[in-house]
This record gives sequence, structure tokens and C-alpha cells, in this order.
Amino acid sequence: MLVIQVCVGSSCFLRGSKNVIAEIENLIDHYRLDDVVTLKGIFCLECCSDGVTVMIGKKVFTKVTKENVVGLFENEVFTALYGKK
Amino acid sequence: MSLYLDIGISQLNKKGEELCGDSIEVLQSPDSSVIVLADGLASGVKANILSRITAKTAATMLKMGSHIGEVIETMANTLPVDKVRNLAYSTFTILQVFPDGHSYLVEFDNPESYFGYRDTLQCLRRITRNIGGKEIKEAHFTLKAGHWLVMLSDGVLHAGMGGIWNFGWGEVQVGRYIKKLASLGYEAVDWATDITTQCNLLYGGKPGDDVSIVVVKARKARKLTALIGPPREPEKDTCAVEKLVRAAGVKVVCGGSTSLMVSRILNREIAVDLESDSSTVPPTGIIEGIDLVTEGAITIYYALQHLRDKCKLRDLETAKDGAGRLAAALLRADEIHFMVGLAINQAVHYPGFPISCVIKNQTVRDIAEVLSSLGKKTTIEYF
Repeated sequence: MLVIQVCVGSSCFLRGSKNVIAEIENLIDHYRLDDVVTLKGIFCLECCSDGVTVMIGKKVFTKVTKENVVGLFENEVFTALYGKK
Repeated sequence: MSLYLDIGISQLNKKGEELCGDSIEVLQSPDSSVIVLADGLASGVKANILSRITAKTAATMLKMGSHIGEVIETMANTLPVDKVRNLAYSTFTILQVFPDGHSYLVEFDNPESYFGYRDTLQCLRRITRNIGGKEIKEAHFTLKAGHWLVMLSDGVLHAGMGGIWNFGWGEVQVGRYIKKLASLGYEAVDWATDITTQCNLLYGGKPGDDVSIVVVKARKARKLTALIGPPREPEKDTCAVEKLVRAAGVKVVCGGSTSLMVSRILNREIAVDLESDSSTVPPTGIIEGIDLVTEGAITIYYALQHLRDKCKLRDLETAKDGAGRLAAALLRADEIHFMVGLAINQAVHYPGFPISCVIKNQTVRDIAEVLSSLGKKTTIEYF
């Protein structure tokens, strides 16, 4: 199971982590990945000045927005799951 | 065990009056708590002045250690005399409770207060005494957790008079109503409001007299400790978390990095409850052994707004978001201790961060101030 964690701390929340979560939920739905990917919130990934912060598996990504999350998801999630895009 | 007095007040003005002719004064100090309900002669501004002077004088004098005889003498000599009636007069009920629970009740021409334990109505043995030509009733008793006392003005007993009843609601019926309320486990303020609402109904929305209710419920103090922000020096992290864990009562953790610190030191996993968020307030978290885990600055800011809006505990009871739950937890508690850590918050470097949230420590102080004004014992510790 691949775990995606989105930071919902003060800074990331204000920078729109809600929208990022909604977008990732859509993507998981779209690619029917709900049996291999778990989406969670996390309180703080300690990258407060570079939010929104998202952790896919063990890799941390900063400056994620609801626009660039699609590309990030398609790259990283498929790489993590299947070894390639 | 520290005894806490949950005091609820509710009043109705006589129809057409801008001021209530009854006054209520609550003075709490480490030595004793004094509660006075005074009902001035007539109604409106005249009654208001009379009752206000009476309540204020009596409460202050008793708090300073005066004897009841002196209080009555002072009032007889100082109350302004009504030109029409050639009388200076205000009835009163005074309750003084000492920290060990020992209590003193004195009534002068007000209806007898109702006294009870949990859902039973009990009889207080009163002794009648004559002071300076005035007949007063006194009672000495001990308040324990579970005891309650309802002080009232005669407007309550008269509710409905001339309208739906010939003689008003009456002592017996009011007693039954109060006994019924006692079994419902309301907070004192809800209890008081319920009675005045009922009076207003009986008066048909046009009270024929001022109505005042003071409900005093004695209970074991409910404690809450909130950890907000990690300490300035990271070496103190363990010490702060241990202090929180050892504290009695409800435990609250506010702040993203603060909850990470708690989870790291306690070695317990932290989960984020994504269902708990609203559009304005970030989601809450879950750590085993901690009653409430929330985000920091934003949640605290909105919790303060809830408290400033005079939200009732009853309305917040069902809140799911962090700020509503935090406000509810604070309102439910009697003694609140804030442990505020002074570590620099990285989140505030974000230019879009609202100013109101940057000054988090000020917000905590504002919350403490509001809670103190509600009669709660509030302390703040910085580290």
C-alpha cells in the first residue's frame, strides 16, 4: 500500500492543502487506485515556509499546488507503484 | 478536592422597562464567593438604583468580612428614600460560600431560595432573627459537590398572575419545575435561562414584574491543560510533554509541530481526522491519551471568535471542527492552564499568513481573559 500524506498544518492549510487533498482524491478515483493508495493528512512535515508539502511514500515534495499536483501524482505515484511511469 | 461554583444568571425586565429592577452581584475571591440578588422597590430606574446599591454594598461589605448586622444597618442608613412612598427599601438574598464548602444564606423579604442535592429538592433549616426592626432568615450549611441552590425574585412566583392563573406560578409549582430541571443535568446558565423562559411564557411575553434567577451549582472543579507551541529550547520538550501527561483532567494539544513533538516523545502515532475540517478551520488530529489535538494559530483564532460571540456550550456541543471543539472544551472546564511554548513558528514566514494568527500568544491571552470573565480560574505558563 502506497501512503500519500498531505500536510494540514497552519501554513499548508492556508496555502490550500484542502484543494490539494480534493485533487488527489479525484486522481485516486480517476485511476481507480483506492485499493493500492491511501491518502492521509499529517500535521506538520516541518517545511512550513515551502508549503503545501506532500509526502509520497518516503519522498517529500514541497510547493505543491492543486495545479501542479496532477503532474506530480502521475509521475511519482506510478513510479512508486510500478517502477516506471 | 477543590469545590467549584457554577453560577448561572438570567433576568427578564418588567414589560415596557428598559432596566431591570433586580440586581445581581457576584464577587469571587480566594477567601469566599458572595452572591447577592436584590429586588428594589417599584420598577424601572428607581428600583434599579436601589437594588444595585444594595447588591454592591452587601457583596463588598461581606467580602471584606463585615457582619450581616452591619450590612443591614448601613443599607438602612444610606439607601435613598423614595419621595412617593417615603421608603428606602430593597429585598435581598445573599449567599456566601467559603472554600471548604461552608455556606451562609441570608434572606430578607425575598422568596425562599430552593436548595437541593442532585435531583432532589431539600429543606434548609432557617432561623429568623430581628436586626434593627427587620426580620431576616438565616441558614448555615455545607455545600458539597452535587448541591445546588436557586435564588429568585418574587417576579418568578408571580408569573402568570392575572393572566392564566389567579395567583401566579407559586412556590410549590416553581419547586416542582426546578426539581424537574435538576434531573436534566444542565449547566447552571441553561438552567436559569430555562426558568426565565418559562416565566416569560406564563406572563404571555409581557412580564408583570422583574424576574431574576441565580442558579448556583457546586461541583468538583473540572480541569483542562492545553499545550500550545513547542518550548523555546528543544531540551525542554520532554519536560513539557511529561507535565501535560501528568496533569489532571482534560488534555489538549494545539499546533502542528506541537502535536508532532508530543507524538515523538510519547512514541504514539498521530492520525489526522480529515473529516473534521471546515472551510476555515484545519482538521483535528488524534493521539492516544490526549483528549483533543488541533492545529495551532488558526484554530485558536477561531476558538476565540466563538468565545467572543458568547456561544453557549449547548450550541457548541455538536461542533466537529477544531475551533468549535476547542471552545466547547474550554467552556466545559472550570480551571484552565495554558502551557505556551515560545519556539519560533516557521509557518508565520508565509506572507499570506493572517496577522491575527501571527500573534498567537496574544490570542491565547485574549482567550484567557474571556474565560476569566466567565468566572473560570485561568493560568498561563510560558516556557
